[in-house]
Order: sequence, then C-alpha cells, then structure tokens
Amino acid sequence: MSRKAIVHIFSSYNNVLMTATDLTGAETIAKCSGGQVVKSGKDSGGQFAATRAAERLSDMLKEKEFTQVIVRYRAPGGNKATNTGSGAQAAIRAMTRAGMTITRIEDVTPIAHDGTKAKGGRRGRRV
Amino acid sequence: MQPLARVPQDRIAVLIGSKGATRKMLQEASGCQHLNINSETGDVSALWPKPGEFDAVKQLKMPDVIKAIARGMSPLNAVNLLNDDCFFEMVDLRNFVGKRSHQQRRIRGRIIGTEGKIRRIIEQHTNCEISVYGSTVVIVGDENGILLAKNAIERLASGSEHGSVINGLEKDAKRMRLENRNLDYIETTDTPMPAGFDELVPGLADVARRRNRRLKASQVDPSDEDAVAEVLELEEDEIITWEEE
Repeated sequence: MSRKAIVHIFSSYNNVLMTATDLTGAETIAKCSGGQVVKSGKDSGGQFAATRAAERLSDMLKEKEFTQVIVRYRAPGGNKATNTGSGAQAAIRAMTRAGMTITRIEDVTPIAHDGTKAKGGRRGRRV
Repeated sequence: MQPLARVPQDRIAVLIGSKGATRKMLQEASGCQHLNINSETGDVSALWPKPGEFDAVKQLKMPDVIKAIARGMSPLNAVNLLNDDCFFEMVDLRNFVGKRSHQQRRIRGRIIGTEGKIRRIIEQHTNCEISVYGSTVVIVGDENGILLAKNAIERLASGSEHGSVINGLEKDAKRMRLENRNLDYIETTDTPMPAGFDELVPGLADVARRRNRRLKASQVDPSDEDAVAEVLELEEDEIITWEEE
C-alpha cells in the first residue's frame, strides 16, 4: 500500500524550500532546501540545488513508504515576483526520476488583488 | 480539468490555428488529452490523462505556454517553453507608468525601438524571444538570458537611456559567458578510486591470466624426471661443438 503526501515547493530566485506533509498539510514528514545541498549560497536557488534537494526529499519519503505525491508549488507572490525560479521545475523533474508518482500539480502562488506597494522607491532599486 | 489561463479575444484565433492546427500541435507537444478553449469567454483548460502517463513538468509549464501565446508570442516560439531549459518571464508595464494608455504606448515604443531595433538587440544578446503586447512584455529564453533581458526591459521602462542599457547588457552578457565557462566546484563520489591497474583497464586481468598460463605451459616441472631428461636432451642438440662446426 503506497501512501500519499503533499510536497510544498517554495521556489524563489534565491532558494528552493521543500516540505512534505501528510494530506491534512499539518504534519510535516520531511523537509529539505536548496541551501542544505550546495556549498555556495548563490547557487542555492539554481536547478542543480533543486535537483539535489528533491532527490534527498524523495529518499526520505521512500524510507517512510510514501510513493505518491501531490505537488503544490509557489513563487514569493504578493507584491513580489509571481514567476517561480527555475527551481520548481528541476525539483519536479528530479522527483519523477526518483520514482515518485505525481498525481496532481497545483500553483498556489499568492496573487495580490491590490495591496501594499512593492519594495524599492520610485527610482527603482539602486545598486 | 486543469484551468490554464484566460486568453484575450484577438488571440483566441491564434491559439486555435487554422482548422485547429495549433491546438493539435499543442496537445501533441504537451501530451495532454484535450485542450478546451472557450471562444466566448477565452477560458482555456486542459484535460490530462491518468497520473504517470504524462510528463508532470509539461503540466507545470503548460499555463506558461498559453499565457505566452495570449500575450502575443507566436505559438511556435511559445511551445519551446515545454523544453526543460526554457523559461518564461512576464514584465507588466503598468508597474512603471500606471494605466494611462498613451504612457504605455510610449514605453512600448521605447522597448521596441525604430523598426524593432532595440528589441532585436536585446534578443540577440540574451538568446531570448521577446514579445510586447498591450501592457505586458513576455520573455522566453534560457535561465541566464531571461534575467539579463528582464533587467534591460525594466531599466528601459523606468526611463534609462537606450545607450546605457545596451552598453550594460553587452557587459553583462560578456561577464555571464565568462562565468559559465569556469567550473564552480566538482562533485566527488564516496567510492574510493580503484587500487590497481586491473580495475582501471577493463580486460587487462584476462590478458595477464592468459599470458601466465602460456608461460606455465612452456615451463618444465622440475619434479617430473622424464620431462627434465627430455629437455636436457634437447639442450644437448642445441649446443654446437667446434668439431661439428
């Protein structure tokens, strides 16, 4: 009997955070992030880090006999970027490679229906 | 049914194509069972086969493909998004100039340039496809190129001069090329390196064994007296004495 988990993926340009929970979403089963698997901080949002983290997460899930997953991915959203970084895609690819069955994919990026002003002044970010 | 995106009225025809050719192409490329396009409201949704029978990453990227087509990208360029190394980015010009239509028109003109000159330069430097439509700019390209193109477009929209944007773009593109060339770090495996030559060269052990066997066959066993006597006899035959010579 294979068990089902929800994998929450938060993918921004700087990092990828992955948390696997049970179907209620309240109990965490396993978690992993891009920063845990690479040496330099600037790589932790990249595809390589996401792949490594996803492999590690699916190992942890398989150990606990979870083989089916529902993926809920999101970008920072709100008044920040609504596009996921390249991490989410690489993570899902790695999970299918590792033998997980993905039953559903959902985009849960928070979309602002009007709200606060985005960071940065009228003249944009000055470096 | 997975809802994908809403398409404006004047792009619905492009999404369907003549006699549904584009829709069919999209269905085949993504592996979805049926692409449902409501031509009155513009809602697009997809019906996927059973889990495991299609590529999950393509399901992830399908909304982006539809969004790209809806925002003016040609379907042939948009379908490239289904590849693994191709990404999607959308810049909303309303964040820079508000919703006044003549201001948006001015910014569109700045990004496109005379006969598409500026857009072409950005595309060439970053290997991206850029489409300007209404109040949005859609960029489709690889991971690094997209960041550069997005930065350039945001700078143009917020009022930087064309010359400085293009100069910066050239510099950044060059730096990116150099950065991609050198290796950041190397992955090392836990298994130790093979000890002898035997494991490094496949088939070496076989050859060595065969050679030893042949060598052994040509040697005489010193405990077997008959064999020793025979070899000694042969040895005498080999010796040529002075008289014989």
